[in-house]
Amino acid sequence: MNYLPGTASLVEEIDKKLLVVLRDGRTLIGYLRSIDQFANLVLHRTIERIHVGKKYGDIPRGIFVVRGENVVLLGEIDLENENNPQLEEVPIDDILEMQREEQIQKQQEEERKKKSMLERGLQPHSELHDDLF
Amino acid sequence: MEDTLSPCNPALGAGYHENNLMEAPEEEEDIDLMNDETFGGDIDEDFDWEEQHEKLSEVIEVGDKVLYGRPSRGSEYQNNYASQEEFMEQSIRQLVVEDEEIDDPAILNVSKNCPIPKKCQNLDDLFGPSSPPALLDTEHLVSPTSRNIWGSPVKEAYMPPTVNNLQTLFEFAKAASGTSHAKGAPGRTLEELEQQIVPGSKGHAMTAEDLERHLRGEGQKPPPLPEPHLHHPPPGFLPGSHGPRNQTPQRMPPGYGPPYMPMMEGRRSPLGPGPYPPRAGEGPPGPTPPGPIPPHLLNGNRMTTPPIGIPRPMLRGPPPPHSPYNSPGPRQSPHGGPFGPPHGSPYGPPPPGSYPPPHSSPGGPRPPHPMGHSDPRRGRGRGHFRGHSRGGYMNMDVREGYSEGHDPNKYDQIHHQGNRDHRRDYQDNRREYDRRRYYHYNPDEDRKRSVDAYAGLMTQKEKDWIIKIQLIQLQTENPYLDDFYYTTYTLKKKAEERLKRQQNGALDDKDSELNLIIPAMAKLETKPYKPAQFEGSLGRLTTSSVHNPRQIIDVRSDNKPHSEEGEPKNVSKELRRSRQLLMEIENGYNLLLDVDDIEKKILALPEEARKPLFEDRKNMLTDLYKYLLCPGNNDHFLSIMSIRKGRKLVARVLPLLEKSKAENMVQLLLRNMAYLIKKDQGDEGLMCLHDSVIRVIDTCDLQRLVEFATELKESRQNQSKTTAVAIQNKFGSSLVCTLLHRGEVLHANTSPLDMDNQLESLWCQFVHEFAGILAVVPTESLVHPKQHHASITEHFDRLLNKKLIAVIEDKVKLFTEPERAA
Repeated sequence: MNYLPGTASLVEEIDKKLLVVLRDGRTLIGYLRSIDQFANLVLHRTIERIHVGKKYGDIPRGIFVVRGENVVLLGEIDLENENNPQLEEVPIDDILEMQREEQIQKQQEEERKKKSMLERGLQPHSELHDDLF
Repeated sequence: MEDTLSPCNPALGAGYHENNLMEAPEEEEDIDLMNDETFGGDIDEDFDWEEQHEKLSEVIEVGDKVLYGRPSRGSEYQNNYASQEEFMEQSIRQLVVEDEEIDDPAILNVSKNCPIPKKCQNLDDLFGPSSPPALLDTEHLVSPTSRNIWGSPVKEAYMPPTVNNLQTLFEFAKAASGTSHAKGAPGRTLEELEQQIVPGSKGHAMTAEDLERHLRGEGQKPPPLPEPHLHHPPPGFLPGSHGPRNQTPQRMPPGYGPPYMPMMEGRRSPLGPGPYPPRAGEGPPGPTPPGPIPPHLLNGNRMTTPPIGIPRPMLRGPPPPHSPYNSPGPRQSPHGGPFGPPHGSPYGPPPPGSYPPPHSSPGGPRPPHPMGHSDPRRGRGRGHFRGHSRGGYMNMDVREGYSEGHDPNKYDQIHHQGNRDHRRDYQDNRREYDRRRYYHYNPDEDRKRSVDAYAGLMTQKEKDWIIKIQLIQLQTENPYLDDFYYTTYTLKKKAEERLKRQQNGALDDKDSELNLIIPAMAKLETKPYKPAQFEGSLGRLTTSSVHNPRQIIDVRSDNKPHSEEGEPKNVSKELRRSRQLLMEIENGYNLLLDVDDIEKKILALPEEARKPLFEDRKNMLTDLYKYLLCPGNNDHFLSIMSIRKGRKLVARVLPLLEKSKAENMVQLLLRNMAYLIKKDQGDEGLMCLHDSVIRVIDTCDLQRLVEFATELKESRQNQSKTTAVAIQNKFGSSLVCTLLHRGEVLHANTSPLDMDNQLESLWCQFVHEFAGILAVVPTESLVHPKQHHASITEHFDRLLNKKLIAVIEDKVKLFTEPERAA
């Protein structure tokens, strides 16, 4: 914004605590330390936050280097409000368990859809999923 | 075995060819090797090459004196420099036929009377594959006076100021394009900064040579450590050649070494051996004066590489080995820490006292100063161990005027002077290292503060680097094409601002106007590149580089619209004809759009660059005119007029044409008025021409007017008078009305003496005829003209007799009074 109005640059986000959503659906929260021209990110003190329903769990990850093309979006974390989310934090194992269940459910759903499509003579839903998840 | 001894060993690659050469009998005693062929035959007996040489060297010295206000480097340093090459380069420089704008940074050195960096550069590093090609792209961001990116800072001293931060750079770029004048005229800013940084500093640039001279003068012995660096042979500094201590992983790609140095050289000057003036008794305060501190250096780390328009672009540090499309250099491992200094360029611009180091740790951490791209690397190494010592409690060394950035520069300094600084630097680093280790023992500092401890990992230089890349991506030659909406949005906003400013006391109207029109990017319109030519050389030396390859073929495309309609005589002739006509009209529009584009470009450019565009524009318009009119072939014009698009085209072109051409066109229009009107029955298609035509008529002189009027007079063949027909059509009647009005204006403004009698009588005749027609034509079929002119009554009064006037009085009202909403 400094140098050219009407643009956005990651430079201003450096050293801020950001929430980054990746293409594979992961949510990372960390301090952005460094970037480059491809928007590769270096996140410091990163945690991966898994959300299932209204619960979430954090996995501390340390330093992440994220390839720019895998970033869907990122946003600054509101440090004041970050400590009172409307969500319930659960221990990591639990959340992983829940995530797995969620995955299984989704898969089953997909299976069923596919089957019913085929029954009706249609092609099963082609893979136009947003990216990887 | 024996083979290897012989000079030409096929195994070693010596070819048979060479063998022959070697074995060629040397028995041609007849050949006098010292013959004229060798030395040149037709040289005057009087020609004393030694004399010439002497004169030349005087010239060089004088030149240097003039430029730098001190005795020529050449004379002083010839001894110092092992390579005579530089001297030769200097001489060449003198010889070069100056070309005003030699934009190719790659060869700028040679063609400008600027000092070539002293250290002999390994040209491979400059031009070889490892040279930073993309950096050069930023030359486009620079004004046409952009300088050599590898130029020594001394050069820069005389350049349009290098700005000290991105913003000013940006503004500078705009300014350089001659259009805007940002509030920091770069030069001013630079000086201001200098003042701020080093109050009372001598504004004199010191070169590397000066510093070295100083050093030698002072006779300080460099610490053994930096020794190797200092004296390493000019040609080619390799990281490997670092002293024992330099386990610095700051392995620099070879490309970095030499080019870095030269740059550092001049750069060194402001940074001087003592980057921090307050350094008490540290070193000669003398060499310190920042002089024309490369602005970026001054800026307490804000600006790294001048991304935009730095005339002396980019390289504050060794050019990044890769294109800007690589992240800033490879990082070194942290181990290099304390020994970083040898690599760090001691060349750190003194963080101005007045500039609070951005990271609020004036001394402690010394993130690589915005030096070069290698700096981050270097700094990185240092930064690591320093990392912890960042943040609030970085208690610095008092001597820290060290701002960040000091260290990286040390690298260069080392080579050039190194002693004091090096020692200091080394000590500092060690201090920091210790500090860091100390901090290790305080793991449970505030979380908050420890966050800050990691802050600044990315130096300002690196940030600027990124921004620079982004800006490069944004630059465009045709903003209207690339982002129309944004461009118009910005222009509109500027217009509003300007309006507001005007309302609040418009003093700088002129300024803002320019600002308004110019798109944000400073575009460069450079003259076609003419490679530098050398005087007195044998043949044409190649001065082409990656960015200005020599022109082999001159390819130009003339898009002449297809003007001739070949008439194919076959069945679908009509269809083809009409299609062809449409195509021709399209071509006409293309020409028109080109003219439009040129006009937009013209607005955006500085004065000088506009001229060729004006030329182009004129040519295009002439083409367009000829295209439409096809002199001698009225039909073409008429057929165009019969198509709505064609009419619009004509309407748009008419205002752009110059007077005579426009009037010709109008005349043609009038001549064919009957025909056109006939075709126009029903829809008032001709009205689109109204405004343009009216404008033409309103500026014509009496002669033209009479000519116009004559056209309207019927040709004998026609049954109905053209005029009569005309006034039954809105366009026609408007035309007639305007004609009469113009006549009146002319009459009113010209004294009877000046009036050409003949014209006058012709005109009178016309008016009479018109009155007669008016009398005849029934009122109902008369059509109101678009614009009424009360002056017509006066005119009639002037020229007609009362009786006639009485007869047509009512009808005249049609022309003189506004159309009553019926």
